[in-house]
Amino acid sequence: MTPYIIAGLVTGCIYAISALGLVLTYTSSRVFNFAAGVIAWAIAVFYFWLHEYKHGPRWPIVAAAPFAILVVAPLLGLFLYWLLFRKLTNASPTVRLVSTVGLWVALPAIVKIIFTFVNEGEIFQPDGLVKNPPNPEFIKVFGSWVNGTQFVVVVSAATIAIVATLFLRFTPLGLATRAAVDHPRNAAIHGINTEGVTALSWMIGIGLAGLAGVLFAPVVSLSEFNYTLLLVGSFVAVVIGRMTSLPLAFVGAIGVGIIQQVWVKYQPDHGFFSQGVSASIPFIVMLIFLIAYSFSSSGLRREAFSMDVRAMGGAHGDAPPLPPSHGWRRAAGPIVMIAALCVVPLVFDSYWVNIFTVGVALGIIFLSFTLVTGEGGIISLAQITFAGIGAFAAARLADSADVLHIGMPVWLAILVGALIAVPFGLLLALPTLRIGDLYLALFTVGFALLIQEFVWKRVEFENFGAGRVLGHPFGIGLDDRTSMYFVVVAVFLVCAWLIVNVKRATAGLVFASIRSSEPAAMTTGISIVRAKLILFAVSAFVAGLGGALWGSTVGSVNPRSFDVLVGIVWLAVIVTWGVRTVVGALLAGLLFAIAPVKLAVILILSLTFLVGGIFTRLLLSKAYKKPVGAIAMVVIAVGGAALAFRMWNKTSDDTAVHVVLVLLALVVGLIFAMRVRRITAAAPAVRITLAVVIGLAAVAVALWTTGLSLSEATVKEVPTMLFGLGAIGLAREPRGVLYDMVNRQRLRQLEETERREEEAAVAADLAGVAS
Amino acid sequence: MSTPIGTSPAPDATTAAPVLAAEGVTVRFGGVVALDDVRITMPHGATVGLVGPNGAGKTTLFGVLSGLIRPKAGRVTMNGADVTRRTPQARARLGLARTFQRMELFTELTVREHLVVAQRVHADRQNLRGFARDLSGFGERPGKDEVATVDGILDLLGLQPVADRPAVSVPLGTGRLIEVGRALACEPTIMLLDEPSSGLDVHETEQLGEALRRVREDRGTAFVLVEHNVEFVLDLSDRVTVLDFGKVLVEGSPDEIRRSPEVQAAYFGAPVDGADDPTEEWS
Repeated sequence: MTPYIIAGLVTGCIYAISALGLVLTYTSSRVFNFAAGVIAWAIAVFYFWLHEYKHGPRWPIVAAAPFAILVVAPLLGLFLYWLLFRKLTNASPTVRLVSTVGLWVALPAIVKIIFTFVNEGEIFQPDGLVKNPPNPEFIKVFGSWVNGTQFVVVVSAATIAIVATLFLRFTPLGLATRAAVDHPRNAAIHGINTEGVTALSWMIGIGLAGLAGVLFAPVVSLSEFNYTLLLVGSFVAVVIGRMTSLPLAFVGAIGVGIIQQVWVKYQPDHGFFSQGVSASIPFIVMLIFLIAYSFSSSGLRREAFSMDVRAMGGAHGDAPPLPPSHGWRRAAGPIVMIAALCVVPLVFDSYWVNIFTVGVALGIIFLSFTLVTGEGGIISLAQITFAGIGAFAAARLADSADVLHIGMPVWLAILVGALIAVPFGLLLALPTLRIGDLYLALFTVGFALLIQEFVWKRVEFENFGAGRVLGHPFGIGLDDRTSMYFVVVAVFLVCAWLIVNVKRATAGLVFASIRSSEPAAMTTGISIVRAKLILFAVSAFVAGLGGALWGSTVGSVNPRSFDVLVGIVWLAVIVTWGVRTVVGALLAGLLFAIAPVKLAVILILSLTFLVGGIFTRLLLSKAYKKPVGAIAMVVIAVGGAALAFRMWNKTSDDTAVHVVLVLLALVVGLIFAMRVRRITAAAPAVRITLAVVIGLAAVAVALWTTGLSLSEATVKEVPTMLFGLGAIGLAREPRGVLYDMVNRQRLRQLEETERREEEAAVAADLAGVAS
Repeated sequence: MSTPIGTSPAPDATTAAPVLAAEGVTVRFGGVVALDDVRITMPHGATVGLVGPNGAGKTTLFGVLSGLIRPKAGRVTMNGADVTRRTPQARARLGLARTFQRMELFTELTVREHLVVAQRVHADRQNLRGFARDLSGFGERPGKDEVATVDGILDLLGLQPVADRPAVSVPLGTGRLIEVGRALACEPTIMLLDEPSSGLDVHETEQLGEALRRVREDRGTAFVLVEHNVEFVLDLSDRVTVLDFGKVLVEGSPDEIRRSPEVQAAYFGAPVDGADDPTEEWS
């Protein structure tokens, strides 16, 4: 028994260290660092490169470990604070969640692009703080031998716990931290540098994540997926500590670690519980605690918002939307969309039609986001699970050779499969009523991971890696891509129409009210319970429908496609494109399907934004009234289309990626340089020098990226990275790229009109006074 | 020290149960006692003013009455039935409506849409059948009485000129009127108005007073008014309750309150000597 407890204690300590970092950063800035796990992994990869990689600097542990953990990690924390977390303190809960999720998506991709060796194969048994393999008989505890690695982990965790407690309780800086956390405004008035304190907290928090990452490496190898386990282990601990209690989180983390390992000893050899339980234990514990806490008298109502945030304007701090367009403008979007969809099979060959079909099927799944996130304001990381439930249920129902022996016609199996997802959606809806946004997001993550570890890994679903088969509905031949395309497009259009109807009607008004102000909605008689239940049920159905159609298009349903980490990338994609519009859902789906296959698409998109923006500006300012303007518009439209067409046909994946990376490096450098020029209070000479230096550094990075040898694995990371960056960019425009692009002109026009009206009114008043 | 209600009966007192009543209400936030054994009674159709210095607990009391705050002790009843454990939505359906001191507008809706959503919810369109109707595309159509009701309220409060503008784009005072309109659209039997005239100019305040009087005449709605504009509230109210430090200080008719030395002490720190109508100095 003791060896199991020791093993559990070790993993538990690593969870605890990571949890400490999470609690610290959360309490200091109210931002929950969803990316903690991947940051830990990134530092671990850096440490490996620094110390062990055969083409790297090969520093000894004594130098590499302190450098990675005490220098690089805190600097990364400072950088991330300055770049992102600082802006999130006043953002709405949704933006905060999604931005950190964006980091969760983008960071691994960036790491894999920089440190290409990560893709070359799994790295087993890397060194931690102690050389691997460690001395197996380092010290004897309660009759069992503890090895060097285990000893170091436990001692580190204990030291940190003691230091943290002493720091927060007994030092002036610790006191300042606690003050800044409880009442930022008051603390600032008393002269405490709240920004400095928060920045320091992030440095320490990321430092702790880095330590956890380095300690975890010998335990699970450098696999990114295994680090997901770390992340969930620490999430559980933070939930147990109710986000703010360090001691509870610490104890909870160790508890979870020990339970996990001890279960392995007692796990049965056969039967339902013989597999998947150990990996699921963190999620099960998290779900139990979330449910238990939600019923307690204090509940887990939306995280204690300080008065400051509410006073800063608006229920959520988002800018109000534009009034909806009327008349021809209202119909224009859908008509263009439908026309474009119908044209696809005429223009593209059957290989591409298939990819577009997958894109539209994903679009249906993304419509479920439009409902649950766009209308409900709920961040759900379980939509992919509903899609999986729909897909697997359909596959098993349609398969007469399956254990269930049902053998339904495929179209019916798809519908029933989608219906089966509904009760799961309702299940997830129940806690929403009592717990706030953040806990709900964690709940959906926990649920999704539970299904993944406990259900999809079973042989009835995983089928030794092959997944389950699902054919085409209505007897459509497997080679008849066009008919399948139209079936999926028809389903998409029906779902889209239904959703648009809902948004325009009473339910849409009700959802908008709930998003703006729950207290006002409640006292107006709106039942939030009913609204959310309906929302979750319908969105689960739509996701299940999309998932089943996706499986049917591809011909098989494989657990790997429904991996939770993929679902998180989905969230990043859909919020970038705009989670409130149906067109956004479609574009997100298409982009997700096409980009990995044809990266030129990303280049073409950038071009389209540029050209489209110029064109729209000219259109709205009625430039076509002058001959020069009209010619310019035609030239721009035709030229842009021709260039896009050429890029589609002639650009190889490699070239596209290189161009995108170079552009990215330059754009980032430019933004930095401009920022420095504007915000530093230093003398102009210093500012300009700094800006020039940053600009040159950007050019250097751009040149370096052209020299990168891009393996196929690296190339695949670029779309993911861009999706993640898009979600991070939400800190700037909460309604997504598409909204920004389409509506910025309208917004400017509206402002113009209002200003002119006001000026006219003032002039009339003055004339009245004068006369 | 709480003074029991009923020393001078309200003009409209009937033997029917009060439309809203609370007794023994105690609320604590951590160590702070926000309300201490507070009692208030609202007869049907009456207007009760609730005044007191800042921090006296008026908004907290509204929170308890509307169901957003659960008291440590005490009871809230509506028409005699105990609603202490019932949700704000349930109380809304029983006829309770309120406005908020710090405006809680539906930031994404237009002015008109505020009234529309309140009216539709009241007309029971927020349920499964209503959702099915929404899905079908007929959910956008206004209901039978909707247009008349909504336009009536817009006219009453002078909101027609801004009816189709986003609610967040109107001035603060107009925003308060939107909240009042939203509450009216629920056709309540009792309205809790939290500083409705705050931010309104003289003309708008008059208009609001007119509107409230009209509603009272037409529908017999009861009001509880929290106000700092003393003239406004004393003019409209039948009875006035004064809160200070979470306790009921005095309760009585507007005249009694004008002359009460305790009230003067609460506001000025000491009773004012030799003044017949101290409220002259308050406006």
